Amino acid sequence: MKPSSILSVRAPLSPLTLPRLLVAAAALVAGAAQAQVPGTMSIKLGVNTITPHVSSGDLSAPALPGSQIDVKSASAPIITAAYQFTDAVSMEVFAGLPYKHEVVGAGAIAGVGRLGSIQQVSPTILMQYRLLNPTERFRPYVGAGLTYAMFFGAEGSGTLTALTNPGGSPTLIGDDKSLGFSAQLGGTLRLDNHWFLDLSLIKTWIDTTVPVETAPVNHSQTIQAKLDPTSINLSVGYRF
Amino acid sequence: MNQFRVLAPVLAVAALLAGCGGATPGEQSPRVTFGKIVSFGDSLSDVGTYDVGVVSNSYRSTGRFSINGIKTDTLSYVNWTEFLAGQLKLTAPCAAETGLQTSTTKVDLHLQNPDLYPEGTMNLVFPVGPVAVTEHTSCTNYAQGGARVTELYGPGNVALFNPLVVSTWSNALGMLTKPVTAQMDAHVAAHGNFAADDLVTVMAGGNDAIIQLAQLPARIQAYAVANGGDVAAATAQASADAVAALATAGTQLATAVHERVIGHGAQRVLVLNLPDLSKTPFGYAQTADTQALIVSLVDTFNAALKTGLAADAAQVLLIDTATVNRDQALNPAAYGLSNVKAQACDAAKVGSSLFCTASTLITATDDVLHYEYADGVHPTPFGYKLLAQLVAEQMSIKGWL
Repeated sequence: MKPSSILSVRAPLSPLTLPRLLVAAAALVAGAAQAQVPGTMSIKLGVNTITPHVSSGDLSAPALPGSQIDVKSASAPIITAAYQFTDAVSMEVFAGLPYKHEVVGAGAIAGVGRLGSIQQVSPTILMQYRLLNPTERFRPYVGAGLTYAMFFGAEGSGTLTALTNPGGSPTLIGDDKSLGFSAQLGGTLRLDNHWFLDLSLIKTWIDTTVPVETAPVNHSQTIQAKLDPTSINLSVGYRF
Repeated sequence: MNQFRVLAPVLAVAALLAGCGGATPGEQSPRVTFGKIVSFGDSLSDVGTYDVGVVSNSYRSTGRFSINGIKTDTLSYVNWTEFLAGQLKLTAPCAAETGLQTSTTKVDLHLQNPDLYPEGTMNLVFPVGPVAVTEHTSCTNYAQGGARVTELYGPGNVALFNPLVVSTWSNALGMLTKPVTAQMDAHVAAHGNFAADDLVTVMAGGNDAIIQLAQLPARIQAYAVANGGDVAAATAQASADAVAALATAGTQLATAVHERVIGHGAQRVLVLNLPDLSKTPFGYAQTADTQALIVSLVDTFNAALKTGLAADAAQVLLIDTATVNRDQALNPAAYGLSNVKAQACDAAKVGSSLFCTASTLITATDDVLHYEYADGVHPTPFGYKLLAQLVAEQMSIKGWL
């Protein structure tokens, strides 16, 4: 039983704000089965944890050789919007609040502790392919796409200054922007005609070059790192 | 596709968030709050014991064993203890004792240069006389150039000056060379026990090695006379004596830290082992055999020091400067060092970096300020900065910074 006829008579959604969506959603009574069918729009709210698997280069001279970094995992709320092109093919856009990752010493400076922190947002666009029939309660899917990571609001630490410019002005961490490829594996569990749970795992291949500014000398040291994070996110979704 | 309009605010939020917040310094205070630094040692930690008399008057030096009076990467710190104090937001270290016992006995310049000077050309080695020894109780850097671990007379001490032997003339300067053990006792005598928030630094041993090397030829000769002229055997015997002396010195330094520093309440003690003297301009000027002996002296001293401090790991952070020093020699560019073999101060103008300033540097086309060494054995301010970075790194790992 395909509900496309029902959907086709619905008026197009106006850009609702999220609270209005939720209120509207709560008021809705489950109607005929609406699954992932062409033209369906869905919104998900959830939490994403990004765990970088860092392969760090060495901080450029002058530094203790082998000075490397590790970037700790961080969690933040995400909001996802998806559009279903066909029964199987959809496009999803990830956005959300910034992640704040702790940056710690690694390599020759392993154990020094916190060097600072870095914030990032990484909007991601994915094309997805959903398996099984749209009416199935559980549908696994795979996706692939692009992630654009924007780093900002980096914070240094006394340790970072001590290691790079002891006794001098605080050393600052600069910002970088970077584009990477993402692959996704996920599944959707339909709760009713509108609500669903979604769990996905995303692997992103992304590099960054972090500028380290030894103020006021502006030595402009850099450290390159492959972040290659895995993200795991759990969301509650609403389908229109 | 009207439904795509939902995406617009989502992307707008992402763009907005990405725009906010610039780079900030973050928390700069160390994890442990220290009240002051108390330093014991030799020239490598000296911040101006000899910033008097001929040193400050004739040479306009500030009494550091480095390049005096220059800025390194905009900072005016010279010694590593000064970089460290700056990082810990503590008052700049100052010498607890100052003075010079400069000899006023004239020497015959004919002995030094018979072509230039006729016999009986009597002159002072240093044009400015002695300066009274003064204690500065508000200062807690006791390190003195020339100091040995326990022995009274180190390089530069006037007791080693013989007007008839040209090679001893530099000792006419009359450095105080108060031994490290006596420095520790002086602090306790003046201030009582160490405070819980004191950061104590200890670095010594280099002068014990230098004195052993200086005594080596005479010892070889004595052994050779005794054994009937077997120079090889005599050399081995004299070298073994030197190595044994450094083992003793290493153990004595560890014992001094245990009894005179930790035993008097110090809770955080940085002990820097002896850098590899063979990887200095002084070391490179020696024969291969002597360089090998120097390595043996350094390793023996450091091993004895490490063994002796093993039981005090809670209070002591032993920093392996020797290994990093060797790595710097192999891998200078990574450290930002432009030269690790030559000295930045012009040896023709100043015999020691104690007298060295910007006006007595060698003229070099490359970056003299980023040379590792100012003179035969002492780092430039940049070399000391690298040492401070190593200390900071190790302190961070220990949770002290």
